[in-house]
Amino acid sequence: VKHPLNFLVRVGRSETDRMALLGDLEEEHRARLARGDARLSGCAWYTKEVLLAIVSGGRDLVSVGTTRFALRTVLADAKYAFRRWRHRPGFAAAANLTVGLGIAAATSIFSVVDAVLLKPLPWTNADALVIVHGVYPERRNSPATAPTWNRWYLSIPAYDALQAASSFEEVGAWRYDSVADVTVGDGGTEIVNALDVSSALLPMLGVRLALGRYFTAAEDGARSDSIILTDEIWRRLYGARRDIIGERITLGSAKFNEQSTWTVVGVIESGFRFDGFRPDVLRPLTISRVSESGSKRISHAPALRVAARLAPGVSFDTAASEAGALVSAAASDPGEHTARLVSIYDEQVGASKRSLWLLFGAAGILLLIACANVAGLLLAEARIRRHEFAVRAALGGSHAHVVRQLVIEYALLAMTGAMLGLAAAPVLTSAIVAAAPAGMPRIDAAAIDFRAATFALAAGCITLLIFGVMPMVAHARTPVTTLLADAGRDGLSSRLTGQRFIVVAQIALALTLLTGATLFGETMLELYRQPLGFDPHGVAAVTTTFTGSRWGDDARIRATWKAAGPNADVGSVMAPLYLETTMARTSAVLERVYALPGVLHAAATSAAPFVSNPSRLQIVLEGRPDTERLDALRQCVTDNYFATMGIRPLAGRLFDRGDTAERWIAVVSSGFERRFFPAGAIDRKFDYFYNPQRAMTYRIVGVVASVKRQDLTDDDRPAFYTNCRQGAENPDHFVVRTAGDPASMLPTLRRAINEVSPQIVVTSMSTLDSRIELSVVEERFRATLSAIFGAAALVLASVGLYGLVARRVADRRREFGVRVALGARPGDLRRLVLGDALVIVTLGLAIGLPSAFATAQVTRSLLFGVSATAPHVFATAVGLLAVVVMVATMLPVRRAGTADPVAALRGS
Amino acid sequence: MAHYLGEFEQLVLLALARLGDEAYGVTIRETLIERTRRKPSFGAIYSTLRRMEDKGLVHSFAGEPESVRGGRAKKHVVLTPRGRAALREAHGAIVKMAEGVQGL
Repeated sequence: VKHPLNFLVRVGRSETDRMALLGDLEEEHRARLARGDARLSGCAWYTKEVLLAIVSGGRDLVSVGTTRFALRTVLADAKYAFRRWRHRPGFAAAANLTVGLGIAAATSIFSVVDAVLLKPLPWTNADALVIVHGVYPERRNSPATAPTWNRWYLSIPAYDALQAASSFEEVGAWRYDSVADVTVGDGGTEIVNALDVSSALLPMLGVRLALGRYFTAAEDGARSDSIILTDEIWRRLYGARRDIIGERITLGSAKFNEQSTWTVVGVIESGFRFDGFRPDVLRPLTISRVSESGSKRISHAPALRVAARLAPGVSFDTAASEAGALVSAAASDPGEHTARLVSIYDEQVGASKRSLWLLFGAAGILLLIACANVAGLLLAEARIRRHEFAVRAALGGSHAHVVRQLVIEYALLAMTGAMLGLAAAPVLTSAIVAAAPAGMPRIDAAAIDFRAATFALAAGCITLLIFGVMPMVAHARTPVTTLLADAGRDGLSSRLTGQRFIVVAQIALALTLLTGATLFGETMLELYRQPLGFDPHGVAAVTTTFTGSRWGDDARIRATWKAAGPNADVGSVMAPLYLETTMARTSAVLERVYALPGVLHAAATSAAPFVSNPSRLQIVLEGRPDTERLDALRQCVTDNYFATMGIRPLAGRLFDRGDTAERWIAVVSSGFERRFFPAGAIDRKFDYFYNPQRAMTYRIVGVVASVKRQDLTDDDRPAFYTNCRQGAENPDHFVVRTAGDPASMLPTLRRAINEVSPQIVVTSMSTLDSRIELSVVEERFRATLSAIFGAAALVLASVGLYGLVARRVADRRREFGVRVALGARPGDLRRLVLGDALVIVTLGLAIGLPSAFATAQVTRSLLFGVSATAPHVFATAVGLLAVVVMVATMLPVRRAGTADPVAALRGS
Repeated sequence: MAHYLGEFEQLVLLALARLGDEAYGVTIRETLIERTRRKPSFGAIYSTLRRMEDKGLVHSFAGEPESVRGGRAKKHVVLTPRGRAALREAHGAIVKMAEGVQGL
């Protein structure tokens, strides 16, 4: 039994006793389970026994003479500390809450960092697992393919070559079926995602099955009908029936308009996720090493994802160079592409690393500032208690005694702080998880668990060290005589060096956090300032998949073939049929949607912004040689698209019903015009080669404003629109502009579309506003958290400075009284105190600036539209911090001006 | 009296006397449950055994690791002559005290 507290059973016991005791517990636990006890009650019994063993061990310890004495005194000191806290509830609450909040922030961020970055991946021996990426240098030449040039797929020959690599113990491959499949279960049609895997992949990863078996090696080559379900779909569609193994289920592929039956051979345990993907079903990866026409030519098209396990003793670099060489040699044109290895850890969580460590660092700084505040509070306390200490010293109490009392008090403070932090952390963690970007892997597993609790305790101990040491040193260095002498007076010479140092440090640290918050905040603002090119407010976007025949019913297809005659070309006969069916369907949906109350405009398109990608193609401009290919995006739209989206027409005309006859007209984006036809694009032409021999020539009839496509940082890529009536793209996306809130229209839209045909399946729907929000969720996450940290730092630093100045003013009341008596005016006193505070603030800012600058450089890659060296950022942070903390000193400064000479002189 | 024995100590020593070679944590606890209807925790039993071993009343030695115990060894415990004497004395005292008392 692996109980988290097992290790504590050693309290008061020898190692042999501990092992024997745990052995007894294990034996008894098993006997209980064998007798039919429930697991839960067994676990409860075990926990109770372990706790009792710890307690009785502890009691043994206490019963040893000296220890018992030590514990008694500790308990007495602790009781004394609690009593003091009761008498000074304000101080106790402030100190405990400050430590608690600091620890809560640090612990909750730790729990996220732990879940995402630190916890081992769920795979067997994940350290040795690598992903093999295809590296295609020539993909760098085109902006469309450049982002993935060194993380692309591998070809079948490359995969075959890797399997022979001596550096790898095992090699597995997979491929997603990117097009949603449809299963016909008990509940009608449902979209499922398929992952096709080679037989080696699942055992290599150590994926556990709830039922059945893995795919066998024999299923790799042959066409197999075996299928493995994931836990989720097994529960949802098949009611978690254990007799599902061997059952035949039907899948239809939307892409190929065909149905196939599969035999369930296994069910994967719940929570399976791989490569950022959560599949519903897994099928054997059948790799056709013979092309369709039967010739022996193997396709060199990159199509597979490959993972491998390093052989024992083989270094990462050795394996990487062997894999690179093998893939390079296997290419149809050797050297055309190669491969690189990425550890599965970097592949899965690498992207979140920087962001999370930064936030963790910010939380750490916040904790430091909180500690500094508490240290300040304690120093002040220690000064107030000088009298008490002096009396104790006079009565024969030793320094050691007082220091022990302080240590225990501080330890209590740290522990209650840790407890408060632990209590508040789950709330913070769930808030962070809720705000985190959807793509952050494993974050839903973040929780305040045993590890996080250990962290909180450790943080408590560290804070104790940080805030406790200074007051303690301050005390230990003060000779008893000074204590006694000082105790009667208020100390004209109170310089408060320790407190000053602390507040300077706080201001310096707060500046670092504020700079980070300013940088991320400005990034966010800059993103929102980006012109979208369309008006997303009030627009709903619906993505559909058509599961029926894309060419109409069989009778029509047969009739068309008959009419075309025996020698007709397949493409030219089927294409119009396809287009006609598609447009009929699209028009029917649009007509139904327009009939809904509250719909202002509706249109269909092949790619809605922030929902899906338009096609990326290469075009040749009119009058240029065929070899001069340029990248452009293409999407097809129906007539009302520009009005629905609120895209501004700039020149020429838009699409209308008359466009059917004249083929191949295009409306281009202003970016397209600016880049390719700066002198005006209207009536100019360009070619799109859909195969090396045949080109379509588009004539430009209009220009519209450029729009953002995927995220707000997009640069303005040349794009052109075609009319869906002219074919070439599937208008599967619908955009609907509504009079009211589009979110409330979504259910109505889904129902309306389903009414048109049950074969049109809505795969996703959302408002464009929410899609845009989703695209900046990572930036928003960083901006929000860093703003919270910055604000907290600001408050803590202000409180720190306020406390210091207030104490100074209180200490110097008599001095001020004397000054007033000697003719000083209130303004002079205020200036005196203000000048003092200004020195501290200036010092803090001066020390903080270099570290803020260094921190800013670390954030560089996460910024957009703002430079990590921009002077105005630092000016903003410095200005904000200076103003806020100076405002915090106003109250004590004003009080300084009211010093009463009579009261001061009477006091002395 | 060589040693004063607490009540629980007496019970554990009696269990040891009863069990002979078979005495270790689990069997000691089983015997106690069976005969006294109390359910002592393993921690309490081990603490008591440790105390009595320090006084020389019992002697313990480690057995072989066993898989049913998660690969951990048993701690076998036997009475020493001293322990037996102490038990006899304590038991004798109880018996003498009870002699002739009515209504027990």
